[in-house]
Amino acid sequence: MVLPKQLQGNLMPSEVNFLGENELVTILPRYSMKKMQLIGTKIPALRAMRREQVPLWVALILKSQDKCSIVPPKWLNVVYLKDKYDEEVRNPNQFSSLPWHWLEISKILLARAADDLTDPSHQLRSILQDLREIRLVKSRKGLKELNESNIVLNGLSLLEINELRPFVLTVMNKLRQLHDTNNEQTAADTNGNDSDGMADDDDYDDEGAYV
Amino acid sequence: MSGIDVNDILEEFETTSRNEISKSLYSENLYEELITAMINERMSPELLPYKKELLNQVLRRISNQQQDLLDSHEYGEINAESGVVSTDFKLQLMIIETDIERFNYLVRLYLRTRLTKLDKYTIHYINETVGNGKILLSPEEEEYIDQHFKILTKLYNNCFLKKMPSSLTLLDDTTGGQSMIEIPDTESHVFIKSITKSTIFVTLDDGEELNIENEGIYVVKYSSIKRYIEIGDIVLI
Repeated sequence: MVLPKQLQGNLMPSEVNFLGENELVTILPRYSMKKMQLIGTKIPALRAMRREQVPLWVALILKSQDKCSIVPPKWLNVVYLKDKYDEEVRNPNQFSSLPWHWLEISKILLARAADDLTDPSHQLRSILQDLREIRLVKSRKGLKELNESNIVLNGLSLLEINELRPFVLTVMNKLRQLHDTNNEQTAADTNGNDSDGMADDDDYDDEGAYV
Repeated sequence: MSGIDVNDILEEFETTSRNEISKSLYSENLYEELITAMINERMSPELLPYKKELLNQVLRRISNQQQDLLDSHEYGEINAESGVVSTDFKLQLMIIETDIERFNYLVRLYLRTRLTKLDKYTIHYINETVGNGKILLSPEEEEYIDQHFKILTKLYNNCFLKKMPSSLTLLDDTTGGQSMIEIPDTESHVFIKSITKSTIFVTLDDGEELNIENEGIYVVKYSSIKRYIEIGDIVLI
């Protein structure tokens, strides 16, 4: 009944994928369908060749039946991604802003709707891979900056965060424990020193420098 | 006196408008609400209050939709032979079915995550819920946690506790500077994202201030941003 251990505290890639499928995409229907009220969303009435926005999972069902073509999102083309790649190279300490689900959506679209994309899929795959790698290198470099208090990770997407999470959280929690014991130690030391008198104060300062 | 009046009016206006906003959120973004609730629950070290209204609404809609689906299937079967039913009709049913399944999946994840925490911190949450006005658990969860605890104590007693000296048989022993009750570690770090337009100022333990900006992603201590999660300005990711 309870959640399996590997699902606790982190999202599986399949779940991130699931969340990505809720993003809206624009489709070009090839046939008409009455509008539908789903539990969470409304599907607008579809008319042939008129663009509509639907959740990705609906688009995929329609696509698999050959009832629509998917208009690729404006970031999913070689020119745009190349720009982003250059931006990543120019700013070695910053992530460029990409959609929250860019990895998942691009993967799904490449697998299921490659014929709708504007660029050849091998080019897209290669630039996506480049982007992914440069960002991976950056985030690994950033691990040096881990501390016990907080870090900023602007620009990372959900999947990338989930890759980092187990490591980052374990390290930060460990650091916090060390930090806390250290603080307790110093507090205990100062208390001890107070009763000992003035002579030990130098000692304490020395230790403080190590902290 | 006039000042008080204005304040009263303003306050009233604010509360009503806020209610309206939350209402419209519920009906329009049920999906996002549920996902946020699920992920918040998943990532927070402690149990969050049960989202009663949201879950009630989701469950009601799921069962409504299931009923509709059954009716449509019946309609489909009756008309199948005459050839009235088109493939389009089947396609629509498929989309509706998928939608229901996706919701079921999310609800299940949400509830299972909560059960995990209830199992782990049973005694702590039994203590928490007794005499505390806050609604942390749903009635079903309360029943579950009670039963779970009963079974657990019975098992322990039958297996080994009955052979031990009675002074050592307490499951919630807190003497000796060590509490036996496992409690969630609210100091642990979490990944957060701010979804409010305004910047949030959080004071950290060492006295420093952290400005949490819109759309920003941070890793901070859960305890320092807990109240923003309750308001909904910050989501866990």
